[in-house]
Formats: sequence, structure tokens, C-alpha cells
Amino acid sequence: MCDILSYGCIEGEKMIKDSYDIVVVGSGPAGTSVAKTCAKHGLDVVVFERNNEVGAPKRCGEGISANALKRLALDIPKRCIAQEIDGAYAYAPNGKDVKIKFESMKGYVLERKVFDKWLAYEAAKAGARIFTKTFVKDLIIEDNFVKGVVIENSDGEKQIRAKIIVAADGVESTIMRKAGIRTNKSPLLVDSGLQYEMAGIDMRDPKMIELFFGNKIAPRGYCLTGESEVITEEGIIPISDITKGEKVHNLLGWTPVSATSVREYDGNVIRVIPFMFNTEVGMTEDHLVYVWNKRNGFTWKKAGDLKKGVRGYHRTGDYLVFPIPVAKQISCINLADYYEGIIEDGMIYPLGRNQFGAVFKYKHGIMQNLPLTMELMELIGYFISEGNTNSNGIIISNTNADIVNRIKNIGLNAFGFKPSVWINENDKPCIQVNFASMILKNFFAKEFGIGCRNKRIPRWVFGLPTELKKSFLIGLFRGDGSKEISTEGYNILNYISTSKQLIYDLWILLTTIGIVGAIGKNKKKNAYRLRIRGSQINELSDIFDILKHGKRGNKGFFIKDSMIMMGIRSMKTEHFSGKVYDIESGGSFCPGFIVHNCWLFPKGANEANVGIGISGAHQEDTAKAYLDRFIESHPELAKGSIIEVNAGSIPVGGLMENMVGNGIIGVGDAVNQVNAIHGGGIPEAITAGNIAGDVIKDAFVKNDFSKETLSAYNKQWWQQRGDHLKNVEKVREMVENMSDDNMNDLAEVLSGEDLTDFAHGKNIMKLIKIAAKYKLKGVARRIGL
Amino acid sequence: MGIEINRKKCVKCAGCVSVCPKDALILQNELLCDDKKCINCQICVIFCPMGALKVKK
Repeated sequence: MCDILSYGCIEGEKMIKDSYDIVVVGSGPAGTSVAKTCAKHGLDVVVFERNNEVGAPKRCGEGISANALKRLALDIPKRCIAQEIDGAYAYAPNGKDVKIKFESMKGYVLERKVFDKWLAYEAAKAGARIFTKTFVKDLIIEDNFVKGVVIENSDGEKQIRAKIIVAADGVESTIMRKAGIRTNKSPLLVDSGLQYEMAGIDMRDPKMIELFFGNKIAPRGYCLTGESEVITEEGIIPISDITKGEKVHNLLGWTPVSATSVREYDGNVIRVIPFMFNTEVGMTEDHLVYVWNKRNGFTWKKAGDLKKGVRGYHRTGDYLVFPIPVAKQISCINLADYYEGIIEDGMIYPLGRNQFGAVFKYKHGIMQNLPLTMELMELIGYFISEGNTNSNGIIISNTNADIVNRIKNIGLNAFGFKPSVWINENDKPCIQVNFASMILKNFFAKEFGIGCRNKRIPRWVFGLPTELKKSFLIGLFRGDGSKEISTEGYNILNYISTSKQLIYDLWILLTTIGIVGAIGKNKKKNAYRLRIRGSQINELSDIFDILKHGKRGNKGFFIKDSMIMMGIRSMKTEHFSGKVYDIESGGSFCPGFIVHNCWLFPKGANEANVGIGISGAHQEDTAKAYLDRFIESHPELAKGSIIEVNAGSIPVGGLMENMVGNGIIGVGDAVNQVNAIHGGGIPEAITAGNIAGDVIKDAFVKNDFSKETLSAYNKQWWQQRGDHLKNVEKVREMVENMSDDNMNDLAEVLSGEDLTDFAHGKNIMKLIKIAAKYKLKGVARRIGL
Repeated sequence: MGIEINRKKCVKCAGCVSVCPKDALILQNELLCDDKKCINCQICVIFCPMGALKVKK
């Protein structure tokens, strides 16, 4: 029992203490490096590892470059190295290969288990304590400060206090998530990885890594055509106009777009129009759609496999799923957000200028926090239907004297002053009610739009209680709605507007009270119509004078688990050549493109790590299926045996500006410190660990563990590694956007030639030409041209 | 709602934990799914390298 790494084995300090200076979560290279640096500075540091062994299961291809080792000044023992590496073969999709043999390509394939353990030995030697089989369950957070952790081991649960917590818990970093510093990984920024350690195989040269590029191994390609519309917080807009940061509606609610992409596409697209929601979506065959069907329930399906239900028997087909949006409930509007006036005793007063230019305060003010009452919502309904703004306030028109009186009274109660009323005797005579107030003008214009084509319903209306929404609908429909009697004598409610956004907003609003309308378009008048009919109208019979009727409505849709299932009304496949777009937001609904590689990292003459990484959003098949197929197609590999299986997420980007919080620091994969091209993170983890260790020491000297002090780590890390890694991310993006053909061409031109020649200045013109052709400027720069 | 874990296929790599938007998956000694947090988005099902996850019917 002399192994320092086995749980609870050292006499004297067998038990985990109640408090330490520093708690490190995770014993990978990042965690042990922090622990070692801190211990060397004389701090009391402990490392908790979930697994029963440091270094296992391993999680990567185990490669590290000689340069990185030199930079880290690590004198690693021979036993950590499985194989020395001279360079790499890169294979294009058609099998053509390119030999890459630079000085900078030299490196090693490590024996990660031995290497990780060695790092742990070094940390322990410096004075750090390491406990395996100890799971960190939760953080102790007090006054917005991380003060410790809750651990669980064979003795049960225990609270451990510490001045600083270091999150080195890998890609899934639950700790950084619990501290609220980072959210989940987008499936586009992590590859789903699988690797076999294989023995008894043949390879070209045990000193050369082999990289297999190409989309055939695992194809890329979910995208929408440019005109396909996406629901955002701002309205419904074509996907080609969506920019980063905009909030789109998906399964997770209103989620900001984290990335957009465009590519050229030549192939089949599926154009689908669902029932009720009259908008067409054009999707590439591989695009994934979240659907519901009778057989499988909720599931993701490729657009090419969608099935349209038989007429009258819609349930035989797939339903597109629309999650009913949820919004935060608000009870009043703060008018000070819209107008910079004078605020006195809860009232807001507009400012004016007299004829001499002096500023004065108007006599009549409005309540600063305007309560959203049923009456006010009704008035807003009238405004959206028939209102507008003029130079001094808002104007609502109507022909019905009763409604005009109602508008006058509601306004008097809500705003505290009388409107001016006059009869407009233009071509369409009507009565106009004018509330003269710049405050109201700003508020109405910003929230509900000016001009009938730009009217909209702001998102906060979706979160109001049902009765407020209903009185809003009363105003809206009395304004511009109409009742129609169908041929069978049933009521139909129609709402017509030239504002497309208003119609779609209204459709979404109605879904939040369980009503699904149908959207239609009048091309001649360029107007949109929302129609509520069938049993859907029953829900509104309490507010509108409607004959209830029991006839079941449209069977093209139904509501289940706060989702609206819309059957497919029409679907056609056609050839499309042009740009296709993709957006990425929290992962769901818009999975994206992929860079796929298989790799082979030799670990000896007949042993190697053979692995694959496919985009985390790629659904067609599992990483395992692809890797098995890849090995099958390579007889020299297929004859070997699999002696170890490793799986996991491989981070491929998403560097973070801020990696610290009050009393907490993140290092390594936990804060996405990786090389986005090859996913290599060992040197990054160790560098970050060393920096973090030094910053922590300074924090102890100052006795200040706040975010401000710890953010010295952000600064130093970005200076040393961040900017470099950011460039690597850009190169990756470029490679991602290359098609199979591009890659084939590139390999064709370069095949058989040794890239070393290029590096030494021969054939430079040739490479420049290729680089220009594929916009590989970044690459050209990187290889020193 | 919730995810069914095929323990014969699962290699406990925590890949699913890293992509779950609702923190519904936990890997301690075994992989566990908190059905109350799960929203059935199936990101983990798609992600799992081993194909070990599926949606509860």
C-alpha cells in the first residue's frame, strides 16, 4: 500500500480534512499542474478525482509535439513515450495522400496513463494531496462567492471548505456550469469522439501519424435555403439575414445564435409547408428536423425521410413540432425606459421648450410604472389595429362611436388626461382620438411599430396572464378583425393585416392560450390573414359573441406537451444549386456542418490509436458505426484486435474570454483550452495550470480571492496562448468549409510531393496558387509563406 | 420525459453530460438521467458516440 494515488493510504493524513487552501477538481494534466505549482508555493492543496485511477480512462489520441514539450520545460521520463513521430500523412477523400514532414511536426505519442500518473507523482512530491474515487457533487456558494465543495466518497458526503476552487474537470465541466461561468457545450463545438487502441495491425510507417480527411467518411450537411424563415425575438425573418447574437425560438426558449454559416450546395432540397403555419422551409436532404410521429414519438429525422400524412389520416405522417413560447411575466411598463423626462412622486413629466428656448416641465404627467391592466391591453389592441403616431402623440381611429368612447375612457383612466377627438372627413370618414404625449408616442412606437406594415406584438405580451391577453385580443379584433359565417353556419374569426410580422406574432400569441390559427396570404393585396375556425374558436367564445359549436376542427395539427404538432401540408423535392445557410443556437433545431477526421496515432510497430471525431450534431450514425466501417474498409487495420475503447467529447473551439469567478478558476478542457484543429489539449492544460498556480499564489499573498484578482489569469493566458489558439480556430473554420472536391484537388496537386520542400522555399509559387484558389491565406501564413 | 441508458453500450465517457443543455445528466459511478430536468431535446442521443442513449417511450 505505498501507492500515493490510492484512496486514503498515507498514515497520519488518511482522512480528507475539513478545509484546504485550494481544492482542485479533476486529476488530468490541468489539475495536477495547478496542484504542483500551488504546492511548490507552499499552499495546502488537494485534488479530487472521480475515477478510481489517475489517467484512466484516457481521453485522447495521446499526441504531443516536441516543441510544446520544450516550451513547457517538462523533462518527461522515457516510460511516458510510446512512439516518436517524424511527421504525418494526410489523406484526401479520394485516397490521395500528402506527406507533411516539418521540424515542427516532430513529436511523441504518449502513454497517457503513465504520463498522467507521472504528473500526479510530481504534484504529490511537491506536497499536494490527491484523493481518487472522490466525486465532487456540488459547490458551496455563499454571498456570490465559491467557498468550498461537497464531495461524496465511500464514507459518504462531506463539505470541504477552500479559499479557491480550481475546475479542472474536463470537457463536461459541471463545476464551471454550477458556478454559472459557462453553459453547456454546444454540440457544434464538441466532436463526438471514439478511439480504439489496436494491436496487431500494419501501418505505413510507425513514425508517421495518419490523418484521414473528408466528408465521405462521415458526411456533412444540414442546411436551409436562404429564404427559409426563422422565428426570432424581432420577428420572422429569412435565415440568410440572421446574425450572431439574435435570439431565435427553439426547444430551449429564445436562444441567442452563436454562429452562422453559409456554403455552396448543389443537390436536392426538400420544400415543406406545414398546416396552419403557412411558411415554406427549404432544407437540404440531410437537414435534421425535430418531428413527432405516431410510431416513435418525438424524434429527429432527416428532411429527405419526412413523410407526409395521407389526406384525412394525418397521423400516418410526420408532424413538425412548434414549442409554445414562454415569456417572463411582467405587470407594468416603466415609461422612463422610453422617455427621459422628469420623475416626481412616481409620475413622469414630459419636457418642452418655450419660445425663448428655455426648458420647462409639462403640467400633465403619467404614472411612471404604467400598470398593465385589462383596459390598457384592450387599448393597445385598438392601437395595433387602427392606431398610429403623429407629431405629438398617438392617434387611434374608429368609426364606431361606442368604441371611441371606450378608448377615451380607458385613456383617461390609464394616462390621466383627456384626449382630443375630431372627425376626419377624408375619403373614409372616421373619428380620431389623439392622446398628445411624447412619452406615449415613444412607448407605442417602439413596442408596437409605426405604420400598418410594421405593426408587431412585443414578446412580453406572450408572458401576460390569459385574461390580459384576451382583452388585448378584444381590442385587436374589434379594430381590424371580422366575423364570417361559413357555409355550414359556423363562425369564423378573421384578422387581416398588411404587416406580416403582426400576423405571425398574433399566431404565436394565440398558441400561448391554446389556440392554433391558420395563416393565409392574399398575394394581390399583399395582405396576410389569420383565421380561427372549427373547435379552436370555442376558446374565444367568452369574449366574442360566437356560437359555440362542437364540430371538430382541422385535423392537420394538435397540441401535446406544450408543443404544437403541425402536419405536413405540402412537400416537394427539387434540385437546387446555390447558397445554403445554417445557424447554431444551443444545438437544437439547427445542427450544422462537420469536419470529420479519422486518425491513426502509432504507439509502436504494430500498435496504434485509431479514432474518429464526428460533429456532435451529426445524427445519421454513431461515431462507433463510422469507425467500425472505416476499419473494415482498411484490411491492414481490420486484422488487428481492439485492446481498449475510449470515447468522449473532443472540444474543437469556443475559447472563453473569462475563465474565473469569485473564488474559482477554470483550467484545461473545462474552459475549452484546446487547439481547434487537432483537438490537442495536453500542452494547453499544463500551461494554463502553471499560470493559474502563479495567479493563485499572488491571490494568497494579497489575501483576496475575488474575480478581479483572479482575472490576472485571464490576461496572462490570453497573452501566452489565447491569441494563438484563436488563429487556429480560424484555420479550422476554413478547412470546415472545404468540400470533398476541394480537398481532393488540393491533394491531387500536392500528392506525392513532400511538403517539406515547400517549407524550405521550393515550389512556393505552386502553393501560393493553390492557397489563393481555396482562400487558404491563413494556411499559407501559418506554414511560413 | 427522460432518457433510457443502455448500460451494456455505455462506456461512461460523459460526452452526453457535456452537451446536455439542462444539466439533466450526471456521471458519478453510473450515468444517471434526471427525468424532471430532461426536455427531450435528444441532443445527447445524437451525440453519444456509442449509440447507448434513447428516448423513453
